[in-house]
Amino acid sequence: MKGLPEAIGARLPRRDAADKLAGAARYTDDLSRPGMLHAAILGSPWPSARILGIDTAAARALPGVRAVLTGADLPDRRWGLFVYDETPLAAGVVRYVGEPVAAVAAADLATARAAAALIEVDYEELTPVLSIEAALEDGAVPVHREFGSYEKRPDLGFERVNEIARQEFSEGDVEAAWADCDVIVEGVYQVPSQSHVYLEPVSAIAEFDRAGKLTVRSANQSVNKVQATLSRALDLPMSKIRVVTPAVGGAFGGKSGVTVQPLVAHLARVTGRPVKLTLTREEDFMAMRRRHPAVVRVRTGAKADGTLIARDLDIVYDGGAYAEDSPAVLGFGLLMARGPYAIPHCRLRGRAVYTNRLRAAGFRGYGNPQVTFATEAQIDELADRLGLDPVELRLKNAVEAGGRWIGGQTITSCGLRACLTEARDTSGWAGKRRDGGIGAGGKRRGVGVSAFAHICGLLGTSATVRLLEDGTAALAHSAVDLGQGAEAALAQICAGALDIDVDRVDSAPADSGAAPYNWSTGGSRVTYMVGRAVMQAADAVRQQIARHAAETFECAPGDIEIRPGGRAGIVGVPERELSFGEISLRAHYRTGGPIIGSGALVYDGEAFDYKEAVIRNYPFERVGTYVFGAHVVEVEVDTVTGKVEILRAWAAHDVGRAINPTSVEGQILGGFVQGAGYALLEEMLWEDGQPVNPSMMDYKVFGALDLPLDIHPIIVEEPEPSGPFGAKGIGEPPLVGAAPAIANAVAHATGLRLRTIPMTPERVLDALAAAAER
Amino acid sequence: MQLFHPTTIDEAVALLAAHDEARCIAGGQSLVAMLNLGLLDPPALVSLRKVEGLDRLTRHADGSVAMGAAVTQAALASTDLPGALAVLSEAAQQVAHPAIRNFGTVGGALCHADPAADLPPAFVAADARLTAIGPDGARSIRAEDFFLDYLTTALAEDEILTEIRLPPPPPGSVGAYHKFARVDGDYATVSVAVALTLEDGICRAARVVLGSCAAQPLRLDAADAALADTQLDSDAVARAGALLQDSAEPLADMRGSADYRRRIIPGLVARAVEAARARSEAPA
Ligand SMILES: Cc1cc2nc3c(=O)[nH]c(=O)nc-3n(C[C@H](O)[C@H](O)[C@H](O)COP(=O)(O)OP(=O)(O)OC[C@H]3O[C@@H](n4cnc5c(N)ncnc54)[C@H](O)[C@@H]3O)c2cc1C
Repeated sequence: MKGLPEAIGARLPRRDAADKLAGAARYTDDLSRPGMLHAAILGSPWPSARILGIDTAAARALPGVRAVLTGADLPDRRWGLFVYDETPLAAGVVRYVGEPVAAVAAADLATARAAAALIEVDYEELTPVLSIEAALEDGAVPVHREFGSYEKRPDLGFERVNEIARQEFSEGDVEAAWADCDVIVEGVYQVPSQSHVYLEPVSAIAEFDRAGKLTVRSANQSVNKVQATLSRALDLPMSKIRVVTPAVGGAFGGKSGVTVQPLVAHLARVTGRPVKLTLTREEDFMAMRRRHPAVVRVRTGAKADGTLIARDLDIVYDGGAYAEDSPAVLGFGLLMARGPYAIPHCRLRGRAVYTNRLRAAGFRGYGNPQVTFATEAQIDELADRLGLDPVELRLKNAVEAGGRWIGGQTITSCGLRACLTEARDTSGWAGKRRDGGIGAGGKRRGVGVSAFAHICGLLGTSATVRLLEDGTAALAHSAVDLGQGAEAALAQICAGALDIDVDRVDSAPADSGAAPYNWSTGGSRVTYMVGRAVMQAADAVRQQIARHAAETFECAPGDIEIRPGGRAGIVGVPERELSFGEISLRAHYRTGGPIIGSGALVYDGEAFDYKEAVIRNYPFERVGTYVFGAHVVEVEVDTVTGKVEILRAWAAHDVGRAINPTSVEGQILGGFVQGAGYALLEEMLWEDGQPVNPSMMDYKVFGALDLPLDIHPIIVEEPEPSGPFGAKGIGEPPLVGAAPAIANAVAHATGLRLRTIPMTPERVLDALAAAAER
Repeated sequence: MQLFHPTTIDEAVALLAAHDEARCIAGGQSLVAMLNLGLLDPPALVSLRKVEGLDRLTRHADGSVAMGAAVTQAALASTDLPGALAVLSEAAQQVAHPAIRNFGTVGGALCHADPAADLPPAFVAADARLTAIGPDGARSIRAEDFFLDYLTTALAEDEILTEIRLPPPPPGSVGAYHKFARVDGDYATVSVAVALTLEDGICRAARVVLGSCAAQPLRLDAADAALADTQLDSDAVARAGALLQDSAEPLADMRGSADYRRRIIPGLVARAVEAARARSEAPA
């Protein structure tokens, strides 16, 4: 096989790193526009209430105030991804504490905030729906009385009041299969609401020019989604909307739809001035998005030799007050619920429901962490009952390339076994496993494993590559860089495809006015999906380069080869060659015109097999290109405090091909750390519908000093035939595997199975105390 | 809101007296947060940053220590103090993050009187004397008597804490500060400050003080007495822990329920006592 181009697999520094380190990167809130106004919002104090009246007189009277908006001032144009249930400001009723009820634009921020505080709202409190159980009980109050009248996508499958969606992936005959099982484990698992806690709170600046064109600068994950939603919310054609992306300080799914852009655009429209709104950390906690908490009921059965036979899983996700991504999160969770194992009989069902709490949405893992926490615990529970090694049990049932996923798709590449064995062997698993429960000073050690999968292929994207006059290249795409390094990875793919130095590839932050469509930076899909579009575009450029060279040398284009360093020449004749610069000048000034290549695709992997499997109401007919990973985590449980300390971790991930290994390792480390927070620390809480911990004082995330340096990313490369240079995705999987591996390690250390996360010190101590009493 | 920058203590005291409800501002690390949250709205702030000599820390030959109220937590954290006074530096090392310790002062941390803060229990364990100066002159207050309630001290509105004096630690004294928190840099869920005087393996005197377990630092004569004249055997330590546990009235918040905090007290007391004792065995 021909060697890889130099740019592929190179540990190149990020282009934005120096600016970020120097504090020179400009985020939305750093920006100002001439004549810009500042906005503030007023949030609802009630989880459920009717708005009887809003008195804005005092706010309007404050000097410097330019506009006060309430829901009643806005057109009735709702948006959503599956159910069109969202408005920029509460329309008639409020559905969660913190929901924006009114907004002010004023000459300065202090005036805007002071004015917002002067707005008086008259509420009639309604009975709130504050839990999954309350949402689904007989006679439950609907969170949306108007649900029936909303425009929505067909086939969401809801049956009861407050159900947003109901879905199923099933194969085989579960009921009959239990009889074939020698061991069956059963449990109910509860997973919390995690906050995205991106470093940069949500911010947007909107302005209209005199021709009526709207420009919005904001942190986002998709300029195209924001543009489309603004079009709907403001009744403007997309041709009149430009969405620009300054530096983004993290998103993790929390900025994947619109945030405050429609509200800010309305304020800009009524004032005729640029308007900026940046949420405070507390407002962001209360009014944006969060991970779906869920209750997972699972039953899994196996033969005495460890062969997995059957699984029955039922999950309910709390979607909060608005439907957002819930139907897709639900279905994706179910698609992952068989796990990376060939279990012949599965019934995987779930629902997403409305409650009067903050909307839940996509968040690194997208429904998968909830499910995998439960299912990977069960694999260990089975191993325990069968007296088998947890790694062996996983290896025995692991899927392989050429095998089938639930739903019938063929697995096109699979490094799962390598992930498991590498994590096992580098961690010293066998010795640590023998020493479970040992420790000094009231501490007990344990080690746990998880195996898991994810996807990286879905929906549409495109890219263009232009050859500039000097033979360097300009790459254009709309994959917003959230801080993870998408821009650098795609530039490396482009440089690899043209076999030039990566410094000879320019690219720019996502701008709907300047680059072609991309669905979103989400779903671990950018390197794989956008990378494929870049490959197509670069390939088109290569062909035109070859044609120019062939014309110059008067030979067939097939006799032309592209040589490293930006040259094209005749195969076998080293001295007959042209530089890309010479070719580009020819194209620009003599014949053919400037060289432009484009690529575009919608995910084109195998569709689900609706004959082989029962697939109900999943909103996509194909998503896929499966990626795999395995984690081994060593913990120490303090029996005095109940605190679980992570001592070491080994996180093996099959990424197909690491385009930039440093970035891949960064994703593995960051995902693992966020997953450790999910496992041990993070939980958004409400009491009577009131958020209890919407601040960085009360809601903690792990920092550099809380976790060991001993987290070892292990890169496994099992090239994916359809991927750019074999690459697949890595953004989300490192989070998915953390919590179950940690819980399995805690079980190994203590003999206790905690089925609720986060495993806070208090929960662990309670479990230890309860066990001592037994 | 007016901001004043006096350069002498007298001037600062006069400014406080002249403006009703005026406040001192030292490092601002708690005060500014309170302002931002709208919990305080003083008409005037009297900054202590330019007051001459307030940031001086002096170790005297007899082992006693005097520090100005505006000594930063970072400065205290990096100062080697003799014997049991090590509890002070060790507590200061565990306050928040470096950026906050660089601004936050010892006096500010004491005057803020947050029951979850690290310095108050440490200063009670070290039996510190606090000098307050007001319009009527100076007075000395034992750290023990300084913390009256949640965010409430014995200072009058027009008094300034100017200096903290630590008596010379007795020979054989050792100290340790043990903090248990959700994450690094968080306030303590429960903390334990310990000052022991050891003589040939026998504990002659003990001061064990809990943080985050009551409205003010919690010290019990009975618990200290349970350790005195013992070899700090596990029974004695458990007895002291149990006494403290019985008297604790912790808050319930995101860091843990009151019951949880109470449950972990004996174990943490044992760890803190052990950490201090280990120090007497380690070569200096
Ligand atoms: C993110 C963060 C994390 C923190 N974590 C911790 C922690 O883990 N542990 C911990 O113990 N603390 C923590 N703190 C609090 C920190 O220690 C503060 O610095 C300290 O409480 C106040 O000291 P200061 O000098 O900043 O005082 P200021 O904030 O300036 O003042 C605090 C109060 O004391 C009064 N005051 C100050 N000096 C005097 C004086 N000389 N005489 C009379 N009154 C005075 C002020 O009027 C005010 O009421 C944290 C703070 C922050 C912002």
